Amino acid sequence: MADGGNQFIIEAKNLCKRFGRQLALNDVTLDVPPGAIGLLGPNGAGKSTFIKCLLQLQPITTGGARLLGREVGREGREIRKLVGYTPEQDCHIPGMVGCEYVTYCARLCGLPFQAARQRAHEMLDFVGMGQERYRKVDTYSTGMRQRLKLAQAIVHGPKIVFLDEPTNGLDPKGRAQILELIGRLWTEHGISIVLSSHLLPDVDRVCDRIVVIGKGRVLVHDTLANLKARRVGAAEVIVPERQHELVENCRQRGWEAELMTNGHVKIDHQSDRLNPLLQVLDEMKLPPLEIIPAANALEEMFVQALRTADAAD
Amino acid sequence: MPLIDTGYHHYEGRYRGVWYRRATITSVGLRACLVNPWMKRILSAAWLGALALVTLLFFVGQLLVKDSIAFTLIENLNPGLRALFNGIMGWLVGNPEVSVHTVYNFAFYQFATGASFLGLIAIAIAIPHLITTDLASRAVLVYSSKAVNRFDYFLGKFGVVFSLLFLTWLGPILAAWALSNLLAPNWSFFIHSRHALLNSICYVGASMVVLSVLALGISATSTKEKTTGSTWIGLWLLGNAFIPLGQNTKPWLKHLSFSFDLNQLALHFFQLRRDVDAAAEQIPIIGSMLERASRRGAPGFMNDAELPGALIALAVMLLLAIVILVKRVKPE
Repeated sequence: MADGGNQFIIEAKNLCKRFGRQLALNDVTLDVPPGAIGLLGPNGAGKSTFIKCLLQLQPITTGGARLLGREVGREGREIRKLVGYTPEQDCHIPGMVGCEYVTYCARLCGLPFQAARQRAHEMLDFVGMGQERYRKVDTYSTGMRQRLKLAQAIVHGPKIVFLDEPTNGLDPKGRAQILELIGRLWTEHGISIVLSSHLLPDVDRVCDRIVVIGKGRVLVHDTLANLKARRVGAAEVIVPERQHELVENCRQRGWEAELMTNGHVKIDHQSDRLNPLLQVLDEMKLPPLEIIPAANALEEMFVQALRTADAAD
Repeated sequence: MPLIDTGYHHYEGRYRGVWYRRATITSVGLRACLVNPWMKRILSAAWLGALALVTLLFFVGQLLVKDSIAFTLIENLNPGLRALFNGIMGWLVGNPEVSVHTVYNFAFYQFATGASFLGLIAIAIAIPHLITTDLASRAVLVYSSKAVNRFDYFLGKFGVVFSLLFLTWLGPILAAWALSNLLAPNWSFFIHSRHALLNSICYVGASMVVLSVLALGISATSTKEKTTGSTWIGLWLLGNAFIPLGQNTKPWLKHLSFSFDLNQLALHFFQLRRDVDAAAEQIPIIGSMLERASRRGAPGFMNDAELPGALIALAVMLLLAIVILVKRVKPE
């Protein structure tokens, strides 16, 4: 629950942001409840601009927004005291070692020195940084910098954390670890997160609500469960042989079916249960190796949303 | 790298106010500047200068004390200097209020204007650590995402330069005034020298504000440390080159030098001409010394302050610095 008894943590009304003649955000109206929110969109869609407008790093051109029940543009310091932010760009205070940097960030949010130092070490432990915290930030690898960014974003105990492409430049293992930490912020500690990314698997793994932004507009806003439910009638079937025959058989029943390049057969059986599909396979005496229900639902929804936006233009 | 989960817990303590956050920016910035070994040398020089001033004023005070070591020293001087000191001694004994005021005012003018050199050098060393490196590492975005706004950032950074100048300039002056009066033969020195202190505070305080804003503006001109450092030194030296040029051609050229303009503030606050004229009337040897000096051209402290031109020039420089700051220091 956001401050002041408000049920939404983010409220945007007719929010527009212009850079010269270019419209970066076009009439964004959005009410987002607390949770793990994925902000999806292709590069240049306006995701980062939306976050920056909410944090007052960019002035809003027209319209308005509220964050945690507070008016954006009027209560900048108060809002940012309750908010954490990990920018996409590499940025740090030069010449500082890791723990000094996080302590300094905590003090910039108003924590007294002793508390700031203690919290800094706790957060560095939380993000899995060991003795590297005593090295200068300038010498850190990309993975360490991402962890440090997360530590500085949560050190002051925020109620919401904005993460702008937090897995950029990470290897698969580092990416999995960072995503696990981010996920736990909401599931275990109740800190709302807004994860901006163009990587669908990252959002799929961590978030329970999706906002798709394309060309500065909100294209889709719903829970992940609802979005997947829209694609519940689709499934990927892995069979050892006779894939073409299966495709043909499905098409004769009026279902959409296609053979994918990886040999799987994608079938839209238009039912919320797998029984009709299993029946077809049984009739063909074709035992499936695996059936993946609603596979790539997020990706398909994302692509569909972008296509719709393109068509509308 | 293994994940060590020590758990996260919400911060339940109190948050301190915006002045604490601004002071944090100042203290961290100041610490970064003071680690430079050259900065330590400059600080040492400034405080040694203050100690020298205290020694001089202690010596002057001792002229009022019979049988002091000052008398023995004067006896050993050459006749010219002996006559000068005897004149000062008589003046001090006869008009302690005026004489102590004049001696302190003159001494603190010389010290305050001389120590400005150390302040300007300190700024040259500090400039890259003010805003330049923050722009290079995009640290402004870090600040902007915390509970401070641009004004707080500017104020915090302003505090860094102001504190540095305090340590190298105003601090030694205040300490020298306090210590020299504590070592003076009687408590009346505190009263008689109060104007010297006030003049110093006004001149140095105003100069510190101006120089701090100028330093921030120049520090924000580039992301390269060498560029901003050399820009400061370049403007300082170039400005000084305009002073003789302005005296011989167009007078307004002198005002392109911020050190010239700040010196006009010193002349305005200290009003040395009045004091020195009064002293020359009462001590003939000082009068003749001034006359000899005037034939070669009036000493700088005897000139009238060109205050309006200096104020306009400084206002324009401040405005330019603020425009640079506002334009350059943005989160993106």
